[in-house]
Amino acid sequence: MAIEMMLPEGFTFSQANLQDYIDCPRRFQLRYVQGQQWPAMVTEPQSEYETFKRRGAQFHRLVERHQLGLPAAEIAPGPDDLLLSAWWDAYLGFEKLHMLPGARFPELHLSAELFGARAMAVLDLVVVEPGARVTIFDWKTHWHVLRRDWLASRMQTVLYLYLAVAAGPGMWGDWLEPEMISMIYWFPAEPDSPVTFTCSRQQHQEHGARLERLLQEIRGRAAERVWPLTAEVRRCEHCQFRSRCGRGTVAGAFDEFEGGEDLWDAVGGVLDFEDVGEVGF
Amino acid sequence: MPFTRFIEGPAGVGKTTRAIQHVRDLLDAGARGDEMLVLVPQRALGWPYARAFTDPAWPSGTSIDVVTLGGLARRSLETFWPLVAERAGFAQPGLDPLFLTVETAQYFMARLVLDAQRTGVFDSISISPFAIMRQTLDNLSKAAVSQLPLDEVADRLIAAWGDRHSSRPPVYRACLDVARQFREHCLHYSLLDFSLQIEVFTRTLLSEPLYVRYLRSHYRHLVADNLDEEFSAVGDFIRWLLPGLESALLLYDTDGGVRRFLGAAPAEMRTLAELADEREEWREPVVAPPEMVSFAEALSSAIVPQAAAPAALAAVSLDQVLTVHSARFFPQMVDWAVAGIAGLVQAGVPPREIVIVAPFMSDSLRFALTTRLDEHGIATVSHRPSRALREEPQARVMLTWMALAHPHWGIAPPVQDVADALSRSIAGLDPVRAWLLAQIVYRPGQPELGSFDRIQSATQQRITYVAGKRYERLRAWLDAYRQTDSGDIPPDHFFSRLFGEVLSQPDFGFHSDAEAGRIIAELVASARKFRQTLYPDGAVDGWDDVLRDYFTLVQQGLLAALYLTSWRDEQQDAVFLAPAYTFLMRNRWVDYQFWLDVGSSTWWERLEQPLTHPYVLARECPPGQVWTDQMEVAARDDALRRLLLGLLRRCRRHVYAAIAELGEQGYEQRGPLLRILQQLRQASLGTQP
Ligand code: SF4
Repeated sequence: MAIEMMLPEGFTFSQANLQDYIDCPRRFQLRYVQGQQWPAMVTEPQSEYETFKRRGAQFHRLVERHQLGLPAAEIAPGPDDLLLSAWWDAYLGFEKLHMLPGARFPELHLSAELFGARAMAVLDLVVVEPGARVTIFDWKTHWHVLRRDWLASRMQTVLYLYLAVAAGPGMWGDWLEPEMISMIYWFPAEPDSPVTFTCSRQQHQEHGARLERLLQEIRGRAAERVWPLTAEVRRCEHCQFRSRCGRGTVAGAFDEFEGGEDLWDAVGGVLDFEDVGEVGF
Repeated sequence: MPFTRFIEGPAGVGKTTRAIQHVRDLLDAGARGDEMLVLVPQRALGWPYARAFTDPAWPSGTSIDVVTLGGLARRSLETFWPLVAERAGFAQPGLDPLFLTVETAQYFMARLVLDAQRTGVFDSISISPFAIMRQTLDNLSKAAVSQLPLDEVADRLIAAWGDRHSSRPPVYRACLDVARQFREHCLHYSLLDFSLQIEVFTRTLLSEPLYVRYLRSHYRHLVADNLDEEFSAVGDFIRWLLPGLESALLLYDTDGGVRRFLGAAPAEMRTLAELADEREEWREPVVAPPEMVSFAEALSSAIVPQAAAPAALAAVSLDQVLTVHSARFFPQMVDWAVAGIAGLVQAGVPPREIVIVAPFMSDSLRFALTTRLDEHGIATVSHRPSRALREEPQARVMLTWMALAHPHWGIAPPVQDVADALSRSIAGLDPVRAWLLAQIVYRPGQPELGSFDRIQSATQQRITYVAGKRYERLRAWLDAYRQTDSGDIPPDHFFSRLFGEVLSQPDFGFHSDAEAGRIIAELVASARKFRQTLYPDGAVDGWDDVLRDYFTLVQQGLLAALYLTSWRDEQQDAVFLAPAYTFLMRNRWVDYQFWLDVGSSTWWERLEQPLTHPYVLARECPPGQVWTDQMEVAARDDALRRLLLGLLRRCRRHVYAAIAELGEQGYEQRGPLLRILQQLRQASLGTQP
């Protein structure tokens, strides 16, 4: 069945849902093809996970405000959250970012055609120096630096770099070549250990080939059959569908939760362009 | 000034299609997606844009914002909060804003309303606390969207009675007092309901230079669709935004404005045309056939004679577009509609090309239609209005277990509830056995459920050992929770754990039940929002009181399930069941429409809202206006006319109108819509050769 028939109209591929497919085709099927809601715990203790997410969101918002021109002194976090304050200080000391010339686009949403489907990326910050380079920043509010090879294999790296090349020239001009694009994962908890990925024409082609294979594989699946359950049973510990798949009872521990932040936007899938509009009355 | 075009025309002439092409042309000419703002009155009205913008063939680039004014306000306030918090009067400006939905606003409102009710101020009218909450929020919202001071709301409502005697004035004042207390609470804790979002955005943020610079440099092009459904505040915003833009395309649906009861100001919005460089009037329908257009115009003229062009009914045989069927009783009417739909589907009509509308869709009507169509193998998707969470059987199961997990609350659910919870929770345990089990293991007032092992073996056999084993697992979970976690986790965690660790496990009732997953997800979300709204920093000494508060509010029917049907639901190949206004707000076109209960006067009546008033709270209504009976009749006629025109202009082939002489409640029915249809039929027959 064509992807368009299987997935809801307006479905947009993202790093999160593609990563879901890679991690477990069944999860992708339950979540996006069938749209099942399954309100089981993802991790325990849930309160730690919530604090982690809240702090991460606050940090993203602080940086966005600062990049939009709000004075640092007016937006600094209060003294209650020492960790957030430390991250904020680290951000203010992130010289490489602050010295970087160019126009700044915080929270930029890119959208492009992807092998007969639509894909989008939400970039934390893009700094564009016309005719010279495009630098994508991604804030990783994990408690430790993530391994370079792990990050390299993540759909986020593959898709963001691919979309920046695919959608970039239309946005910033024909001067943009893949070599001019780089992506920096920056960890406020370890500010001196950013992980940088650069792009090249060849790499762009490799990313494209990988994404195309992935979409072909998804297209080849039958919506009415059960898609393969992951062979890595460990993943099920942090998956809300654990009970649905008969893969365990209790949610896995938060400190063993590798994906962490990526799970924020993993739920949804359909372009939810505005989810409060109807709340008028 | 930008180049501004104003296009006016009835639904179905291609305005939105034109607007999408306009956006595409701008992109092709070099504009960026994020430089465009598409403003719509309601989320569903943005779907055609979202669909187009996510089409693979749509140009690559940055995403285009498709938002309501409320959505834009929320997003902007979230980001630029430090600029406005203090100026807008928030007591703790360092506290980030928390945006309230209608549901979460009720958490606070509930306490205020219950306190006010205890004093007896609402005794002179018969109204539930839930309705008081809703209408108080409504008054706040109407004040915000019409940009009226709150005090003026009470004045206008009182003035509307004129010299007539009424017990309402003190009730209005009490309602506004509750609204003020609510507002104070919001200002204290950085909470923003819809009304406060609009007010802070329009009054404070739009005068903040940094934000103004940002907004003006960000958006260069505006498309505003369905302006007829917009509020006065949107008109003000567009007037404010226009001077800095390069282009604006404004679309207005003639005879739209069906959201007047929510505060839409169609006449005022139409004055935006005066700002346009070019005005176009489109009349040629691209959707409805000429016969349907004639029918629509004739119907319109019959309701409000001066409102439409002279009836062109002579040219058309009504039978081509309308079938009217009269049944004596309500179930017969439903049978007729179901048979008609089954016939159409058999003849090859896709179910999604059929809609069933009624002025109100009662649960029993929805149930009857859904089950009957299901018997024919025809899928349905229905839009439900909010209703109390406790009405959902799956939610009741969770609440029963919650009560039993907290015996120290002293809340003993009835045995019937426990039996129902057992039968729904344990796979393979039918209601009869569940009742038997409940009677043995549950003694209201006793803190724990009894063990299956203690039951006599003959009874065990009747219940079955398999079910007994499953019951023991559930009992063990509740026991363990009581002993180790009771009161230590918030209500949403309790529901999530119970669902994930027991009830959705293999051998349990919700294991592969997608509907249970959906409803319990809603319960979990509601409980999470409840505690995040009331205790944003989680600073509580144990969660027991919070669990209990939440439980009590749900039991009192004060918390509602939202039932926002999603885009995903509505694109299914299924017959759509909805109240007529809801269908219009989906802006969908279908081949066939079934209008039910056409004899009912509810087609013509206004929603019973004793604490508010959509017309006198509109900005275009002069302050001090006395609302006369003639005005009421005219307003109802106008609303009915707009409703019917909206329906007919979204129908490509045929309308089936069904009448039940005795309505759902068993009363004889001869409402205005029925009379008008009969009148038209006579006229049509009279003109037949
Ligand atoms: S529980 Fe495991 S198998 Fe099932 S969807 Fe989740 S990851 Fe896949």
